[in-house]
Amino acid sequence: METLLNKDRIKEVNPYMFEKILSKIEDNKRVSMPLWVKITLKTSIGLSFLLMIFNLYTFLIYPNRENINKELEQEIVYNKTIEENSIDALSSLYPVEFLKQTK
Amino acid sequence: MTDIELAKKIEDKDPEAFRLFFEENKLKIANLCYGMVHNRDVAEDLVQDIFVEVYCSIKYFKGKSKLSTWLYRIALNKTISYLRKEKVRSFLTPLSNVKTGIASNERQDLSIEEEEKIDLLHKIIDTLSSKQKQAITLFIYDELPQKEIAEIMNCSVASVEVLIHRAKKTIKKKAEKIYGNTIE
Repeated sequence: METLLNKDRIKEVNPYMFEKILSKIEDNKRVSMPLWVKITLKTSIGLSFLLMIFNLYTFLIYPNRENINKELEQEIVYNKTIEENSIDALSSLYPVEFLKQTK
Repeated sequence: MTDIELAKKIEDKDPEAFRLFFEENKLKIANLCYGMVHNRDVAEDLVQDIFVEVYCSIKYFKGKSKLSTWLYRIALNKTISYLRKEKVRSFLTPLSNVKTGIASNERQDLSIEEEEKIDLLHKIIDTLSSKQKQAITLFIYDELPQKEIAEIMNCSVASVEVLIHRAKKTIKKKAEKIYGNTIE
């Protein structure tokens, strides 16, 4: 087995490999960014990802949140109307008895 | 020139020192990569990446080990990380998992029968555990002594001995199963 694998070994490499390595090093120097930029970039990506997950989580937990808010707002407005005794003002639109019943 | 002196020269961007270091080690690293990936083109690409990495991080070499050991460690890590990425890629795109290295692996000094046996050995080596594969590659392709392999793999000489022994045993057993006789 060793004899066979010894025959399989690489005996020479691409003669231009060293030049390729040097050009890769030069490329690296040109495109490399400072460490603080990398850290800031990674942190912002991480934060955005966390926010996305949080939003998704709240959406899944409270899918009808908007409806609940609307209902609450309507109730507040209705209660205010009742408190201010302005129910008579609506009598031109609805019968006063009906409005009092709903109260 | 000592390892630290050489490293210092490379750090000081002495092109001749880096060329000397490259010429001394290129075949060793190429064989390590080839022994792990079994594709000459990929191995050559990896050698390039490894030497770029060495050049960029030579400032971290403190002389606690030999420069060649340090280089082997970088090479091994880079190759393992390539194999890991390749595994994920072949899992995600199974249709593109076609061996493209066949043409580049043509060896004119070998008979067809020998080539077939070598391809079989490659397949069997790929089935070994990662540690066994690393140890057997460093032992056979790089002809390193077990002590140096232990330093590179950061384990004891006895563990390396066991890894190589088990790897050889598995290869022999699997080759026997497929061919009905051993690959000598």
